[in-house]
Amino acid sequence: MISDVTGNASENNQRGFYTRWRQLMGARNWAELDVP
Amino acid sequence: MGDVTGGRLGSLVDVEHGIVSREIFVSDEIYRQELERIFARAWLFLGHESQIPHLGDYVVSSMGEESVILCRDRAGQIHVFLNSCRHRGMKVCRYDEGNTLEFTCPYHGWSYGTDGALVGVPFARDAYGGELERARWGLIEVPRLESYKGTIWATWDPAAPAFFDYLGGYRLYLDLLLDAWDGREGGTEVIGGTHKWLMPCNWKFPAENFSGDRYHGVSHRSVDMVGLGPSGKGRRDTQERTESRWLDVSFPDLGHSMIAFLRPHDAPIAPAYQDAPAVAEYFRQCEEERRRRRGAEWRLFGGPGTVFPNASPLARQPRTLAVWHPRGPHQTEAWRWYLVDADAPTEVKDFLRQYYIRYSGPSGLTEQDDMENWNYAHAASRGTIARQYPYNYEMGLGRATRASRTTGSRCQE
Repeated sequence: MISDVTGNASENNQRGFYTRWRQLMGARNWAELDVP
Repeated sequence: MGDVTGGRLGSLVDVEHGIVSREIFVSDEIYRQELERIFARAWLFLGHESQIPHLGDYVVSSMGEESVILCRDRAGQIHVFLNSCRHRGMKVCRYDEGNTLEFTCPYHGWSYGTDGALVGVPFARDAYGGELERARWGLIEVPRLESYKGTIWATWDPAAPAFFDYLGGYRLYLDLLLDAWDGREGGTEVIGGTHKWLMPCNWKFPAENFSGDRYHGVSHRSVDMVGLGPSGKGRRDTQERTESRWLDVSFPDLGHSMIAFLRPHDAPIAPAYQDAPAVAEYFRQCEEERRRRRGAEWRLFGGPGTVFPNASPLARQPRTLAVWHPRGPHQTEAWRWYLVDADAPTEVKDFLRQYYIRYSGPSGLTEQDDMENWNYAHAASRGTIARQYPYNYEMGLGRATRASRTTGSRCQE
């Protein structure tokens, strides 16, 4: 996702980072993860 | 190792509501789970081909907490080995870099070729009766390795997705770092050594900061006032950001992200490095050529970002790739590689090297202030009381102005 943040600070990217962190920490192996 | 969070991941990391628990930064148990479920599975950046150009060249790198040897064998093939003797586990290589015919363990003297084969065992006939099966006892090698535009990546997990699937659409943004300034594919090399230093904070502080924290301008105010940029104005000479659209690029299902910039269609070439005419002319010519080669895509420029979990490109000057190695929940070892166009004139490379030294790492000025933030934030989050209160990530939540989507290959407006 690309957000225009010209003049609008955002933490979209940090939330994306922790989304993946949560996915990997919760999965027992790669097979349990969706690889887009 | 099972899930030490006891099924609490959703409450520890509640991205839907912009809440992240401090526990994930300070807990020993969660850290150990990270080593197993993230660092033993993910594709990790190890080094650059330009660091090992000759047969027998090697550098010692790191994957998670574990030391690995990145080397070019006598046939020219690149390998990554666990830096641990198969006999008693001693580090077989204790130097940072060099050139060798073989790696000899200093403990009992087992020695390995640059292809990892066990080639020497002291007193083999007497000690093992000539029955030691050497082919079984070579150095442990990573099962998956990929070299991309000079950068070398590896994973310990044979079941991990292919490297380019792991990168997905982020490949376009990584290319903004790795392609030559004039728009040619690849063509960059590492200049100088690898800058390394320790920081008393969790590895996720720098990783998430580079992923897209553009909110901390106040931290760098003193550096902007000092003016360490090459022409003495601000932190950098390349001023194209000032007239660009600012973009947050995020691939949440991959974890990768970058701050990027999109210049207006009719933007002129931004003057830079005016105090060094030869350098200014080099970059002016590169920008002209980049527009010719890339067409409309010339407008897209990269900034800081993170390839999940811990590799952070900085695609514009100072042009670097950092890795945040975990060294326990409360310590991170930062490694920084500095990139230049391989065929740039020596004068340009020397100029950039001096600038990079002023800017980055413990010898530079800009990241001294970043480290102060990370170090003190970590220390102030460890306490019995402090760790009960989560961090806030609500900024822009539900209010994103979507500029475009990526198709996985190109940024579209």
